[in-house]
Amino acid sequence: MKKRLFSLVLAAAMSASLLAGCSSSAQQGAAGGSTSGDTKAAASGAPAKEGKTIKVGVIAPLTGGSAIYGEGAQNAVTMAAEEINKSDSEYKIEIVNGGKAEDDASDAKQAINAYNSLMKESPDAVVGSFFSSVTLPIAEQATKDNMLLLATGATNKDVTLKGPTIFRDCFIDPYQGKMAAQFAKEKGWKKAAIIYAKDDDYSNGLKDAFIENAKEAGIEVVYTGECTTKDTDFSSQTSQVVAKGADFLFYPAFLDTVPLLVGAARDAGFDGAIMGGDGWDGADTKGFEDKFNNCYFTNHYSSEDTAPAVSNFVNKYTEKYGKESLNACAALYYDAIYMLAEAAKNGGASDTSSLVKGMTGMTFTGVGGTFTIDKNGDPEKSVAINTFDNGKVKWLMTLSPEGTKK
Amino acid sequence: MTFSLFFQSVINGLNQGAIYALIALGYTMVYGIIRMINFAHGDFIMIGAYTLFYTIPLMVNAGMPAWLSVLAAIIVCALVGVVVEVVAYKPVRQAGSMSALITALAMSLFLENLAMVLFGAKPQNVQKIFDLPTINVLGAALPLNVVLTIFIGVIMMAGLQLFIKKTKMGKAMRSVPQDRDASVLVGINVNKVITVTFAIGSALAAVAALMYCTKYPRVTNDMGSMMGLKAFIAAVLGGIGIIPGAMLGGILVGLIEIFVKLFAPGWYEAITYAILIVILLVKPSGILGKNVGEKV
Amino acid sequence: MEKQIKRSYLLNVLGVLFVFLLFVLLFENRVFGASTQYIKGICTTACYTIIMVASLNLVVGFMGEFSLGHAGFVSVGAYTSAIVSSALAGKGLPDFFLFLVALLAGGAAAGVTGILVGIPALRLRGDYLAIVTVAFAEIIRVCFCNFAITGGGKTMSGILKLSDFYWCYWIMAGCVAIMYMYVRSRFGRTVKAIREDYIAAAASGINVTYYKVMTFTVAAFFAGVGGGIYAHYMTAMIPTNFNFMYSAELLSEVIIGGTGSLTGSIIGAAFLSSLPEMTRQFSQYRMLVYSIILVLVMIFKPGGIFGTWEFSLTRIIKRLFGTKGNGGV
Repeated sequence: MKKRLFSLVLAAAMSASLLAGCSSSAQQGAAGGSTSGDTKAAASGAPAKEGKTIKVGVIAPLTGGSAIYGEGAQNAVTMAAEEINKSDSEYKIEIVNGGKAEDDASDAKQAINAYNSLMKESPDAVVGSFFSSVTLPIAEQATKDNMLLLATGATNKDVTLKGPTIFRDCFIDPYQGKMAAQFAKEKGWKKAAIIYAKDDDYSNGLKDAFIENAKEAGIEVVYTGECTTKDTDFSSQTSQVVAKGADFLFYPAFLDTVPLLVGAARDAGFDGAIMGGDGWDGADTKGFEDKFNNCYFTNHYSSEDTAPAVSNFVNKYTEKYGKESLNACAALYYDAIYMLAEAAKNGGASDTSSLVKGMTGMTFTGVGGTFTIDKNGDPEKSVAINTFDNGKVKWLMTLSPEGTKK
Repeated sequence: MTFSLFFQSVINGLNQGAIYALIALGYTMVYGIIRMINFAHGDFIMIGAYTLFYTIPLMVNAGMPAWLSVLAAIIVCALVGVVVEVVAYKPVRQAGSMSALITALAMSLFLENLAMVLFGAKPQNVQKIFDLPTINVLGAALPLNVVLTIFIGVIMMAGLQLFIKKTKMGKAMRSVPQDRDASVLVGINVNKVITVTFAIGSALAAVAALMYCTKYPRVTNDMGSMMGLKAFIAAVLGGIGIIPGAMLGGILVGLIEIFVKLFAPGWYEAITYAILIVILLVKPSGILGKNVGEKV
Repeated sequence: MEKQIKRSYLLNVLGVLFVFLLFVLLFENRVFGASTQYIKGICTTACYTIIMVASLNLVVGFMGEFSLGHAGFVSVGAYTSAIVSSALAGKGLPDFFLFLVALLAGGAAAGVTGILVGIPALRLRGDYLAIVTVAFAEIIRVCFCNFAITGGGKTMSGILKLSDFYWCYWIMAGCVAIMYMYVRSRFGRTVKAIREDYIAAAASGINVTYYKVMTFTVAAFFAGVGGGIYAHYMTAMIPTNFNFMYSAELLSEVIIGGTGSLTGSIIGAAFLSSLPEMTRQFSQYRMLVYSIILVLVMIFKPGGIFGTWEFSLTRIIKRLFGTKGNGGV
């Protein structure tokens, strides 16, 4: 009897705290949003005028296996918002949720909740998220809500096809794969081998595009190997790359397994070029310096680029947060915030529909170079090809969609 | 398939298998004595690897060989193992195997997330530990650390076997799984035996971490979970609780994975798990085990 | 007696209806203001989690066996229902009907998988069964990574967004009611007998394997239905969503709620699936806290918070009105 009563009380407490949790977090969120807005306006000196502030919600993978990307994103967003608010820009940026990005833990289940959680502060635009598998559900919902979604790293081509309010500031998978093939042709490589992560969108997308374009570029694909995103052992695949006599290995994957692959390939006796996509940016080369020679990757920008936007970003970022989390993700989130400010200027107001109007067809110059948003909402960007010199990323060339430029 | 690719694959398989074997030794040790699947064992490897990551630069700066860091890793792992046992596993020991399994799962989650909070989620590269050359045998590259890993594995296996068969503590360890109550009656301190088992099992994880980092010089907070599961499969394949079985099972799983990757790379994980299912259904005691009927 | 049972059914239906109306009232009057969509989302998440967790509890709590591969069945249901709904879309079916057909198809596919997995796997018990279910779930995941129809490892997107909270609520209520009746039926009692003493049950002429496989199949069916709601809520999914961690999460929710208590599963699942949302501010420590709670529950209340206690509306009403009698629902 007593036990039952105890359990009943517990149950009641649990369900009460459930409801209380929901509502209190909602209240807190709202309260946090408004106070932070005030402090931010106060900090920037000039209080933002009504209607001139763009409320931006940010979603990024702050926890989970890809937290390193979220860390870069959070830093970059804070930095961009501060810069814009300090500058004489007509439109100010307010990051809702108290300046913090919402966490999706790179998990699709939490992504929708993260998005809905941002919606309670009715932002004008949402930036994020970084992975395609996480962004696709968000894009679906954003289309329904008529919300402007500026995806950052989601390179799956379906993302922006969901609706007219979905944009992105990274290049799409087919494009990057095509540019990789173009670069290989330029270098005169003839026999390509590919190893890709079968359970990942990004890897699949780049692989498909590369194979499609390889034939045209006169490259023969002699071996296609599979792995998973969690693999650590690549000895079987790399041995086959060597056995098939390839002179070029394409490994489109995210940064965490890149050193292991490069190490395994070199250990297997492969001394040809190894190439990857923007997921390689930020890969740790410590202890692998000599192995990373003759490796290349395509990226949105090169940290070595001397263009003012890039060097400004790289210097400031390194000064504030160090080099640890400076990767493509940080650059993309940084650009995204600036794009919104620019879109507001083009559209003439800071509400969602003006932002969408301003964003459509816009030409933008930022860390990722100068690009124009096409009719799908995808940017047409030039690709920076980077290589490694003694473990340090070095800019090699920039390939534009039309051809080469140095 | 050319002969050199075949031979190279054998080497690759041995290389990967030897690492599985080292991890499986720890699994089999703990399971053999406590009859509990220690899900957190893979995460002990992670702790060992992080210890190596932080202590190797200190060792190198002090002019000592990098592999001596393994001593620090052994101490840290043994300590963590004992703490986990005393704080989490001991209180649920009487509650049955289900509670123990859940607690082990929870500890695994806990260690993984604690590591993420403490060390960050970014993978880190571990400095070079051994400077062993790669030699060319019959047209295939044979990295000498394969030989070293197998050598260490055999030494550990023999040492453990001696310890369990010859020492007093070892005999106590063998008696505990047979009849816990009777062990208490003949004056064995069961709690102490289990704690020592965990200390040894975790220390083995540190050694495994050393060889793991030699082959895959990268640490992340979630490196242990998949590795642990594979090593568990290896232990079951060889016969769980049987120390030479862990060695055999590890090497077999490594070889099978590498060869499946040659022909059907997308399916290699499925094949590994299928092996587990088949072995458990056909001969649950493993290759080296004896079939024992269930007591009523 | 017959009359009493009828009355208690009616009472429970009224109870469920009351809770539903409460939700409708809260949402339609926009009590939560701008957060309505957010909270509705969490509630939908809670609905499908409740179905998945309650179904897992059939295996863990009532059968007393350990399944660590429930995410495998969830994924079978999710993918099947997604394929069915996109095949039937645009055929002029009303949305709700389409949704139901898709869910049933998902459940059926998961149930068939349950039979296929259960027949060999349930010959094992305890730790070994747990590991074998992990293995089966991983094999299912690898299969989805390799089949073209499920996207071949890529995200399968463009699934219709049919999981409306109001629908999901009723589907959840229906599923839980059927599971409850299953547990209370002759079958359920037999399964409990097997849990209590395997050998005695076999000796008294119960076909142990048959009842175990059947329970496993029922659990898999509802896991599939839950997966179907999941698919139509997320609208996009990738096989890696249904990895070992997801199974572990579901199992933890069963354990914390209470093995052998559907009430515990319902409240546990609702609570734990919204816990991540409440602790969003501490996102960094979320999983850490989660694992600590799990260890604490294991140490201090190993049967889970609710043990085997069940909530009963009839009982409460009887207490309130002071009528004597010992009949529950």
